[in-house]
Amino acid sequence: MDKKMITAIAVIGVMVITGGAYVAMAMTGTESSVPTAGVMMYTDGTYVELEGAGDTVREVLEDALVRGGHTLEMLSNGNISAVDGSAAGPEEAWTLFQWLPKTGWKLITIGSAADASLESGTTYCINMSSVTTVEGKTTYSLPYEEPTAVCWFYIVFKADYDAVSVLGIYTESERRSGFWISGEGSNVAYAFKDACSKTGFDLNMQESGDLLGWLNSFLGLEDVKVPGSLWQYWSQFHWDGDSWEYNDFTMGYYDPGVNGYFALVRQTTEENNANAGIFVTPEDCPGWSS
Amino acid sequence: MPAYLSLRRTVPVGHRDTMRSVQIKYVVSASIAVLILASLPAVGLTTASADDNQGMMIDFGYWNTVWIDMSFSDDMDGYSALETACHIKGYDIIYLDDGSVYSIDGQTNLTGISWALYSIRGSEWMLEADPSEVKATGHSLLCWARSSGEEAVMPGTDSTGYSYYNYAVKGVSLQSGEKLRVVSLAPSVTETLCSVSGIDYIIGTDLYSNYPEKISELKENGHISVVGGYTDPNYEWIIKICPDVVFCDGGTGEHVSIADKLRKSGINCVVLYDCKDIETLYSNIWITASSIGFSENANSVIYGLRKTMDVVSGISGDIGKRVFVSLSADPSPWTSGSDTFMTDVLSSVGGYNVFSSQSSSWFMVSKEQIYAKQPDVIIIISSSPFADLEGYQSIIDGIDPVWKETPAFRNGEVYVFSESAGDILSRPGPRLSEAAEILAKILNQEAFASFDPLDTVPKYLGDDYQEYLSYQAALL
Repeated sequence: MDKKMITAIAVIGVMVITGGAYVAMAMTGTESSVPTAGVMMYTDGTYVELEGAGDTVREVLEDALVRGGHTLEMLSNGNISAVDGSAAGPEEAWTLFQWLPKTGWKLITIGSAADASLESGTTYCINMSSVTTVEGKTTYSLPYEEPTAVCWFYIVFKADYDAVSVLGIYTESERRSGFWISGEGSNVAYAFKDACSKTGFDLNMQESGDLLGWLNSFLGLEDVKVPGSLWQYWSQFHWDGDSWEYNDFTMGYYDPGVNGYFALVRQTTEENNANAGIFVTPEDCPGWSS
Repeated sequence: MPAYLSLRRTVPVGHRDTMRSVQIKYVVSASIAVLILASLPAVGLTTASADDNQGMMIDFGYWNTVWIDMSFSDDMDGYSALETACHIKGYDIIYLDDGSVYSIDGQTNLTGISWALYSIRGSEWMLEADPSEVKATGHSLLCWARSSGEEAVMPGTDSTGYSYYNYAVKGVSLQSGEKLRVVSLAPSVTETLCSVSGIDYIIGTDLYSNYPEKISELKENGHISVVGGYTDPNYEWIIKICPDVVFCDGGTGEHVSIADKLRKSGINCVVLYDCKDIETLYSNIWITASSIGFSENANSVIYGLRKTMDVVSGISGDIGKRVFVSLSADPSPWTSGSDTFMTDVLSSVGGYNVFSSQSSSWFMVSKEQIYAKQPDVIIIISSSPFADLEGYQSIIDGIDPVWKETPAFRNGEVYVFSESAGDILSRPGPRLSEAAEILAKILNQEAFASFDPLDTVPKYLGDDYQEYLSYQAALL
């Protein structure tokens, strides 16, 4: 083996190692420690969609507006005084909202949110609100659009793969190895509903209230109590950038902009001790993007 | 003439020789008295010409007072003087069966608060037990007040015992018949004058008066002269611009001294009371407005301030946070003790000045004392202007390590006031209601945010502080 060959092997080796490291970083979502967030900005009667990066809400906003070629002026308390040099008119105010998937738009102030940890994928909205004061209480009108995002769902059967109600869904082999579906919505429950609507899958889901996204039945399969204090049901997981994590809340509490990959596993498991054992990652998903 | 009266009482009747010598003594005494009286203006023991004017105050209580310019006739007693005054103003009077006053203009007696006649003795009000026995012409000023006693009646004189009425009517000098010419010797006094529509009459101020903004403009273009600093007003400059009235701050010894000197030179002075609480501010507003002939404006301004104070203190509630107010970020700075407007304003919005137990008004404290008090909130009044987060952070970073061992620092409750925001915390004028609102929001942000989620104050305030005011009532 001559020197050139050794050098080439070494270079390729470095490239492979570097590439592998990059892929690993991408898979874990740690290629950049700076979170990004979506910013909807009201302008000329409509909303433009921007994206910014930063560790705080203030940084994200400033970055998003700079990238979009806009200017933002704030008071010392973080309230927005002008956007693109335009101040609010009488009975109006520039306002900042944060999208919460379960409850919708929440009015926030930079002062209160600036130091809060910023979750990547959250959507903010710089809105021109009309101001109403009744009996001393002031309210600000909400943005009239809701942010939506696409969410992917990995459906896999570890049990009930031969149930009558699912026989028409792919093949048994595909049901047992799992498959992906996707939908769009302002929270994961609505995105799942959209996905089922597109695929024609049977869904009976709680669509409002505290249990928004609770699955009464999916593909005709309900929660079934089995002997030994066990349940056969759709256990649900979300991808946290590193691994599948059991959902502590119903799907309505999740923002598809923040958590874009979910797994629904039909299985029998002990209560409060669900073990995913899911052998795919979002990288296997047709809609995967780092 | 106490000496003369004493002499007469000691002369036995029938002792003609003695009497003759007494008469000689009397003539000599009288001559000396005349000389003394003639020389009084030169030695500064006279009162201003306005003291000869007569009138009546009707004090309805709750900082609502009316001045009636009127002459007392020989046949007037306390009741007939009131009836004349009420006739002038169109007020109804209702008497009780015992002849006492029950209501004036519909304002009735209340529990522990009743209508009574007061007259001035020196600079103090004295209750007249029987108004029918009061000979009105013996007084320059009478006051019918609905109050709990003398202490609760609107002051009838300035802080040095001089009458303040009738220097002017609607801004026209009663002495010259021309537009009033006024000098203010302190920023808080200037702001008080301006709040009652006095800005058009100001011809001179101290160096530091800069609010409202028009004051600065008028100083820059020469329409208002600078007559010295706050503690060193210049007598010659004041004399030179020929004011009708000079307004002084009674909390400053130099002002009391120069008022005495100016009065010797025939210039009327009004020395406002040392403003140690909000109620004294209301009195000063009344005195100031009445001095320039706009007493009705005082009621409006006081009403607006009281309304604001009531609202912001009502929202903040009695939150009881312990507050340390520092006049700088030095390790051992000046702070306010008891009997200061700062302590009163903090108290009115539910806070507690950690040094309010100190008998001194403004004094220096050591960092160890600050640590011992463990304040929940620290307010720093900075003389260095800054307008951004970087400037604030620089001050916070430079804070003495001992200060950092307080709940205020640990919880991020350190606020810095500079420029105009610093002024509202250091000037006991009508902008105290603005200071109260800002302080109330600092002490109980949650309460204010429950009414308006965007109604928050930042950690540092400067010339933009008015952006954070939302409860200020109109004053005029």
